[in-house]
Amino acid sequence: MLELDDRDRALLAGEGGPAAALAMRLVVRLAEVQDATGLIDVESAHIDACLYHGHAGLEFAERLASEGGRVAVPTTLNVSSLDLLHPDLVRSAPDEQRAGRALMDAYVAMGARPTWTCAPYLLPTARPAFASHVAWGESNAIVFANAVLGARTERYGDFTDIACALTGRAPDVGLHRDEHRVAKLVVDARSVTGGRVGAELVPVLVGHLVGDRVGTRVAAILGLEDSDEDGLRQLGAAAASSGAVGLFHAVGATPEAPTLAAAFGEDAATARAAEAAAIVLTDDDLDLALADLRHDTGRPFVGASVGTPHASLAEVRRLATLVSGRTVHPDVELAVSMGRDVLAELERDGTLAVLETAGVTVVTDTCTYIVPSLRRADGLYLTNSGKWAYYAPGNIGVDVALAPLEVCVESCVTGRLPAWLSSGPRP
Amino acid sequence: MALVGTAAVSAGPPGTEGIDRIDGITTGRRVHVVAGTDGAHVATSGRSYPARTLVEGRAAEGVEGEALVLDEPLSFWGGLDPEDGRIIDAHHPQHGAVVTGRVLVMPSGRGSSSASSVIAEALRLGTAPSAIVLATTDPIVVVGVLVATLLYEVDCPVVTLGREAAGADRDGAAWTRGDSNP
Repeated sequence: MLELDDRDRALLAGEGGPAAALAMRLVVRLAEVQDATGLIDVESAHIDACLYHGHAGLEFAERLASEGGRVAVPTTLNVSSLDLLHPDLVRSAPDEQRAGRALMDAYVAMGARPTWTCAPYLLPTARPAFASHVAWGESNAIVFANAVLGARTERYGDFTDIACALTGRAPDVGLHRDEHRVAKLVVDARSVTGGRVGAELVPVLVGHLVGDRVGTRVAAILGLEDSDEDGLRQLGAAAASSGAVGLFHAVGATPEAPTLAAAFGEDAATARAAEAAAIVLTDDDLDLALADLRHDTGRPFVGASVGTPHASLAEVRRLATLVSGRTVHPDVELAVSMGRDVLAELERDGTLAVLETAGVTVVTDTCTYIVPSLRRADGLYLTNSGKWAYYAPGNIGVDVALAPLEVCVESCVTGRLPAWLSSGPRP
Repeated sequence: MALVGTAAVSAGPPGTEGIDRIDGITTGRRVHVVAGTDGAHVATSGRSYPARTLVEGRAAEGVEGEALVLDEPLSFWGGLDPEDGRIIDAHHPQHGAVVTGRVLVMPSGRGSSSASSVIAEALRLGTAPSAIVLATTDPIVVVGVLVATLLYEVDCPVVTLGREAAGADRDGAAWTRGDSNP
């Protein structure tokens, strides 16, 4: 049975206003259907529902805002349907743009920060501490918070994200609890080298395979000790696209898995048994994943999109180094998506000027695969993101092939694909 | 809680395991769904299966409709067009089927975080199912339907059928693995 405390009952009774009461009703129902015995405090929220999916979502947000809804905890906002800093980039219908803007305004009116990024963990002020409970939406942010930071969030979605933000409470279930955070199986990637695509894409391809093969189960992955934070977030983003992954452990790289046994809650016998039954990945599997993420109907190469999830400072600086002193070929487009806070930092240090001089398209507040913003959608785009490769063909109708950042840049400067990509696998 | 049938075949993590269905409930059958605060059941062809209410129906007598049984989990986001109620996920076995007015019987959603918005939008536009019968509790489906019922006074009872519910009735519903496993 669900036990509520006095604050919960007060909110339900309307003492925090009608919006908080409605939000608490949703939190309580969520807790009931998941057989929670109580609610927990969350320290922050990240709202995914600020991306426009239809009028119902807008009416819900506007009702909460008009009834005086105010977030009870620090709350960041995910990518939206618009690029407010580059308003000419997004070409969706005017009605949809107006609705998208109204939705953004409603969430800001409730006190959420207009961060408009799918990578809130890159903001120093929004990075959850180890073992802290948060209520985050956006699949890549969820898996990053859980896996890389060791914070605790369930996989929150539209409506539940704001309900938790307005109440500061969440059901005590799932990845908030120790027993659901221990690994259930082992993925052994120790023998992969990257094969013909090189080491940079190893985390992306391993992530795609993990999502595909483990679904919602928590995997302990061997062989990623040397991964940096950007590699791990690319892995998580890819895994959360091909599967419903909310948490993984990279043994020797993520905080809850200094050892394989630690990933299994210090149950060494279970860990050994799981290792013996591991899903073993090889370079051949990586090639299969590369082919799986290629959607190629034979249309011409028209550009590259990088920065999904929103690029980190390090990623954009690397891009700037690669394009410095060069120019994107006039027949193609090179786009990079990032949060506006990262952009501001890059404006200060001169990196933005390098990108602009080279003819790179900078996208903020939204992403190139969710709204029509790329110059053309009638050809093949390169990307270094497993998430972008997974969703872009369905969402915006482009062909796509995965390639390391350097290959994306080189192809955009020359206007041509390298031979190994031109002759690559077809769908 | 494992909400699986007396045949003891797991519904599995959404999207990763095979195919589940309820014996006795097939596409095209008339199905009656009652979801109250004090109990729920799903009835078809003279059999009644105990169920668990996730979202209450508005009408005490419940909802009746023609079943549409999905062989695999469906994400409403990217999988359902709320404009016309059609299943648009090209990889889904029931691609092209229309959910509008049907009793939608499915293993679960697929966990997409935006699926709540899409089912709420379908309810707003009148293209949604008349009831949803799940094998596994799916909070994303529950919240989407609940928000729509709060905003628009629409009726769409949501229940789970499974081992726990079936435990009250040994002839109860059994979620079993289909033979068209991928």
